[in-house]
Amino acid sequence: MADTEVLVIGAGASGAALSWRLAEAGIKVICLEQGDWVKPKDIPIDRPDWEIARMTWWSPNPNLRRLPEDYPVNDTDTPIKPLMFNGVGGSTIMWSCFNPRFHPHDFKVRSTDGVAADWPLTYDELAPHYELSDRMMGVSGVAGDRSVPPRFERPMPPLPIGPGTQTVIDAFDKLGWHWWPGDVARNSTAYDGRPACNNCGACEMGCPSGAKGTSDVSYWPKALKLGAQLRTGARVFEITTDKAGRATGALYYDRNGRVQRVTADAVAMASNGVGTPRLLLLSKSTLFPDGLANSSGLVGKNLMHHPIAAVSGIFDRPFDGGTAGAGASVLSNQFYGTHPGADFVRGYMLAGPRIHAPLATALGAWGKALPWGKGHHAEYERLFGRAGAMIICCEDLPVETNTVTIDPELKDSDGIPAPKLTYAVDDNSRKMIRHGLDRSKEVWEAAGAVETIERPLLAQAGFHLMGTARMGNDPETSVVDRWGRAHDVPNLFIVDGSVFVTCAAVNPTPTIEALALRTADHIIGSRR
Amino acid sequence: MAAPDPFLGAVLTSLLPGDGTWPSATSTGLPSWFGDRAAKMPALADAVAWLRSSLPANFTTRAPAEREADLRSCEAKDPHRFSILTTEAFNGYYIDPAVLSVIEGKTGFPARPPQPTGHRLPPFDFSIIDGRKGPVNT
Repeated sequence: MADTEVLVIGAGASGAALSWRLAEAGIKVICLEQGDWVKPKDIPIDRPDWEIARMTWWSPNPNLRRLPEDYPVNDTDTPIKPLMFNGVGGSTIMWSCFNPRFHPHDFKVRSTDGVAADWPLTYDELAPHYELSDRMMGVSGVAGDRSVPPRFERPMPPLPIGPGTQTVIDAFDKLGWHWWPGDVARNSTAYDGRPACNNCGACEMGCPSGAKGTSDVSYWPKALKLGAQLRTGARVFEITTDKAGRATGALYYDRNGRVQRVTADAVAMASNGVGTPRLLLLSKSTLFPDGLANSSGLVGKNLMHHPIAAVSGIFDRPFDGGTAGAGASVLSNQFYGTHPGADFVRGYMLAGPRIHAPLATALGAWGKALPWGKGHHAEYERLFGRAGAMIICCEDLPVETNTVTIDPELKDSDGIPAPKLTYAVDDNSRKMIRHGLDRSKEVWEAAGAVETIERPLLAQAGFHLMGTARMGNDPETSVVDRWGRAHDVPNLFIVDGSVFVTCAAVNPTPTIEALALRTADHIIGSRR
Repeated sequence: MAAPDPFLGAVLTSLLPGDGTWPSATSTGLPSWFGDRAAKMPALADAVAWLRSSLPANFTTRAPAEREADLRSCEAKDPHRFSILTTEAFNGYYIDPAVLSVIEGKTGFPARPPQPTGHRLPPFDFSIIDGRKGPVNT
């Protein structure tokens, strides 16, 4: 008899959602997480040097953060650096909690645009799980956006907006462009035993109050209460299989570096779009010489990010300095999806404004290096409190040469080989970025900015790791089926962003969670 | 805490001179912060050592314009190493309470970390979406 019915690898957004849903149905779950719980006191958001921490030892980039539980990533061959967090809650700990859904046409880009591939499921099939995810994480927002399908009201009203956001709204109105208050997974009111957000404006550092719906405070307490087991400090290095080619569990290093084994009836990978292909590629055997679930050769291929660009708008009057840009952003779907006349397919979301804090301003976050010496302070005063950034989130298309592979030399602190990313922004994305930069400048000009600064590609923006074990009906062109089950290994599931066929132009977490919850329901249904 | 180093003080004040209400680097805690930082950060210690060996021996007593010219010459010779110095100078300066107080006075940005206080904002005003709202599931 196995130790557990389902073994989940990774305690982030997808692993938490899956574990909770399975535990709720009475299924025995063990989840292995290489990191630990993040305690409120661990989050350096109340220290005078909080901005330095955010850029160094508490950065979302594991190569800068270098905590013992992090694994290094060779990112020399990618202009977009991978961001993630290893701990209970995964990358939701450092996520900005912007929570938009895919649009229905995002699931069928092959049919509509002749590129990439269609998903083997539709928006309507996923919609009930999106709703469940909203309730579990706690989403603030308002229904009625005409650019997306009708939805139920969100669990909480929208978050407050600040003066900078109102300026952007007025500019969108002036241009006659779409805008809507963004859905955000942080509490505008007390919700589910967690307090209302106090608008500190530094969500990416983690939330000591629990107002942000990170997986460690939303799903995990409920999952544990239902009997799910969570083992932290458990660094998996191999998914084990039997002679019949079924997954049997995993081997991992515990906190003391000792090898441990967990056996399971089924295994679910929830280690993000880099960690999951890494583990699958490491789990080679005579039956799976190219890595587990990799008969298609697609494990680790088709890595997608969202190329993120920005345009700073500089004003000759205060913009949003007093509240530190703590208000919620608005988004515009004006250029979402393919647009007639554009020289690229698919599209992008505009979101803004983003506001940079004092030190980030000095270090050039607005896209302009500040001089030292005489003139420094005058330039600082021209920027700080008088600028906002419009963010351009571009839909990336899957390209097989954008990959996660195993680095031949780099290893983590347990000696497990580390991943290497190879990624290039393709021509379609470049044209899309150019379009987005020009449109963003129009927004700022309409808002009355006296100067704009382009940032054509943000390097430290690789939070969205997708596509490296994609979903599909055909085992030759995909790794998992429409339920997240590996074509090659009938009791192996993948529930993180690896399964994305295409990536839309929105933050992926709600879709990742909805897919994980849907896979859980499939596992539950199959068990009956 | 390291004792203030006159050489570092001269360098830092050249990088971040006082200007109106803005304090000069040496009027803040930056010199000692910087010294402590260099003791823990090899790349910064290396950059400081390089600068010390590259600048004229009388750097600390030279006129401000001469110091600036000396530093610009070093920057041109090794921009990367020089950028380590400026980055860390900005790091220390813009977390200094005296500097944050100036920023608060000029912009209203509070001179404190984001938590535990956060910011008070008025609740969302639903009237801004009047006339925009489409169908909603019920």
